[in-house]
Amino acid sequence: MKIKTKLVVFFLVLTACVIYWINFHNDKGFNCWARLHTQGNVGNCNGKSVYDIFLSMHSGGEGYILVSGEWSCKNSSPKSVDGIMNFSYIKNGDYYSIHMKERNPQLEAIFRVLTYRDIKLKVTAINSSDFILTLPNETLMLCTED
Amino acid sequence: MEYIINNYVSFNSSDGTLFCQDDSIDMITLNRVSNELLLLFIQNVGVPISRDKLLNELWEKKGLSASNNNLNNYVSMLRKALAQCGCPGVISTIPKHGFLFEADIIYITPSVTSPDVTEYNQSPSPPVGHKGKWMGSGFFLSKKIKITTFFLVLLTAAATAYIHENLRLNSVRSEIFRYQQCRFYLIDDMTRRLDRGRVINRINAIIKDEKINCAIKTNVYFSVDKKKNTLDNYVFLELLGYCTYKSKAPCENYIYSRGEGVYENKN
Repeated sequence: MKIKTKLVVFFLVLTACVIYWINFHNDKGFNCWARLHTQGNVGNCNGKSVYDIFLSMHSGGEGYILVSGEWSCKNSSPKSVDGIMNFSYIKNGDYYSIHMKERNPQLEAIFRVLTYRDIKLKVTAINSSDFILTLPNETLMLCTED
Repeated sequence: MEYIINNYVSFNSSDGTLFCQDDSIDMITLNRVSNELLLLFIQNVGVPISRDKLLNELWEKKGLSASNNNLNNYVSMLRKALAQCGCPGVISTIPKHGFLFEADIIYITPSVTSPDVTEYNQSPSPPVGHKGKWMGSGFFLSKKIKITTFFLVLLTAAATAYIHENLRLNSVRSEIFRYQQCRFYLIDDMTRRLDRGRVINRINAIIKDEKINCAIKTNVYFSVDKKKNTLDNYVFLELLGYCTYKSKAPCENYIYSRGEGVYENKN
C-alpha cells in the first residue's frame, strides 16, 4: 500500500472517530443546574426569591425542569415552592425548541420563562462545565453541568 | 540501489554517494573502485572476502591489471569515508586472507518497482551467512514518515481544537476586569455596548451587596437586557452569574431589575 493511500485511510479513520465522538457526546443528553436569586417583581408582589433550577434534557427528545426554593414579599414570611415541569424538545439549528407539556402556576410565578408554552433555548458552553442558557431575546441564566 | 549501513549511513550504489542520516557532514562521493568495493562488501556482509576475489572482481574482470597495494589504498580510502560518516571499524583486515565487512545493512528497493515487502521477498535472497537486515520497500523511510505524520496530525488536531475553542470563547465572552481571584466577563453584545465604567461600577455594587467571594478562583459573567415595560419606560434586567472555576457547585445567578438611570442618562 502506498504511503498516500495509507494517509488517506488514516485521515478517514480519524474523521470517523471524530464524528463518532461528537455523536456520542450529543446523544448522552444534557443536565445542568443553577441557583437563581431574584429581587423585584416576584409572584404578584415586590420581593425576593431564591430557588434551584435543574434542567434535564434526555437523548430521546424528552426532558424536565425541576424548580425548588422559596420566595417572599416585603414584610411577609417566605413561602416554599417546588415542582417539576415536563417538556419535549427538538433541536433546530443552534436552538432547542422546547414544548411544555403541562402548566404549574406556582412555578410560573417565580420562574417567569415557564409561563410560555413554547420556548427557544440556546445552550452555549463557556468553559468545560458551565453553560449560558439564552432565549432569542434575553440571557436566561448560567448553569453548571451535572 | 540504496542501503542503510548501521542504521546511520545511507549508501547509494548507483551514484556512489554516502549520506549521514543526521546530515552532520556533506555528502561523500566515492570513486568508481571504492563504490564497487563497498558494494562487494555489502553483498558479502559478515563473510570474509579474499584479496584474490576482490582483485578479480574490481580489476581483472575488466581487463585491468591490479596489485595488492592498489587494493590497500582503496580499502583505506573507503575506511576513511565510512569513518567520516560515523561508521568506523566496519572493515577488518584478515591477515594473509583478505577483509571482513561487518555491519547491519538495510536494503531499500526503489518504491516504484517494489512497492511492498511481499514483492520484495520474491527477489533473490541475500547470500548465506549475511548478517544484515534485508527489509521491504522503503521500510526505514516510511516508518519515519509514519511516525512524523502521526505526531504532526496529533499536533495539528490539538492546535486546531485549541485555537477554535479560544476563538469561540472570545466570541461568547469578553473579559472586562479582574478582582482578586474573580475574572469578570461580559457575555452579550448589548452589554458590551454600554458604558464600560458604569458597567464596572454596577458589577462592583452587586459584588458588595451580595457579598460575593472572590477569594477562590471564579468566573463571573454579566449581562444586561434593555426592555420596555407596559408604562413605556425602559428597564434594565441584569444578570450576574457566579460560577466557581472547575467546581460542580451550581452557578449562582443574581437577577436585578433597574431603571433607566443606571447605564444611561435620562434625556
